[in-house]
Amino acid sequence: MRVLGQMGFLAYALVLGNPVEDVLLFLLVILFGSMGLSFTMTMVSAIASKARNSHTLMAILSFPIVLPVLLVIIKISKNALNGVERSASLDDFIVLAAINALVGAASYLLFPYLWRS
Amino acid sequence: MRKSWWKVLTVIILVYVVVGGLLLDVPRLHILNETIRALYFHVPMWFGMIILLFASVIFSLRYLRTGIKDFDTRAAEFANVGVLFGIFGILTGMLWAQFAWGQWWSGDPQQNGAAIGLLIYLAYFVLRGSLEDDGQKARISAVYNIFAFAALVPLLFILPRMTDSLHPGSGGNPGFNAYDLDSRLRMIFYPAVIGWTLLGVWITSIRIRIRRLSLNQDV
Repeated sequence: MRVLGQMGFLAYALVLGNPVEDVLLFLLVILFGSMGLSFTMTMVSAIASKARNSHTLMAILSFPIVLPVLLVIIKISKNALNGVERSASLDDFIVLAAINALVGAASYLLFPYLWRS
Repeated sequence: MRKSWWKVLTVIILVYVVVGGLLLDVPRLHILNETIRALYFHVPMWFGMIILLFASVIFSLRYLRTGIKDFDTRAAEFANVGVLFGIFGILTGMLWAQFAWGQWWSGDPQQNGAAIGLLIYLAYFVLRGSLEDDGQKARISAVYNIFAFAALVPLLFILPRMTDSLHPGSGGNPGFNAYDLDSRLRMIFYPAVIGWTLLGVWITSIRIRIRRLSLNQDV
């Protein structure tokens, strides 16, 4: 997913011109953001696949859980787009990393329970 | 009688909180004025919700470790009552906001965060309702419950503090720091938290008993 994100960014940058002023930060956000998203989405889709009628269920379950990650990502990437000083987004970045650690640890611990049947 | 002393305690505390909270003198704070009394009703709701949901997570964990069905029942009921508290928390918060901010809902980060938090747990009930096999339902919803709590913590405790909010306690409004200094508020606030939480536990224990009875009837 990270690679996909980077590729998407590159493609857009090629076609539309690069509006991002702080490229390094933006790439980092893509890295961490997609990590967080993939942790939660993997977990939620595993839950949804265990429950048979899974299509609507996945949307319902995942939306509120990924929202915190999304909010932080949007904020940092806006900062990166506008080239705001790095120190302004440092706090948000720490929060993003913390959420990632929390969600990653939780899904790592819980996945075996979910999958054995 | 020996076992129900805490129920008597709950009633006494809550009577004290309601009467004292409405009648006793409160300090005049900038902006808040008399609406500071919401501290006795609105804030304990959130404390109670978090405590009940935490209890729910603990029972979910114990269910996953042991596989005893009763733990799942308890986890579900604690989540139920926790969400009830959350709904009351949002309603009392809206009532307060109507007076302090002039609007029932102004899209404040705290309000939105609380609403999303409730959505997480409503999704938990949807998940519970959509699974048919009992053992699977218990296991999967326990997993989701723990996961959801992990996602809830940053949502309620970290994000609102990072953004500018009109909610007391952030953005230069008088908040907990001011309360902590005032013993008149503390005298009612701490019992209020304990009392409302105990009430939540009481409701939960009754619901658990009902659930157990109906489970036994099915067999």
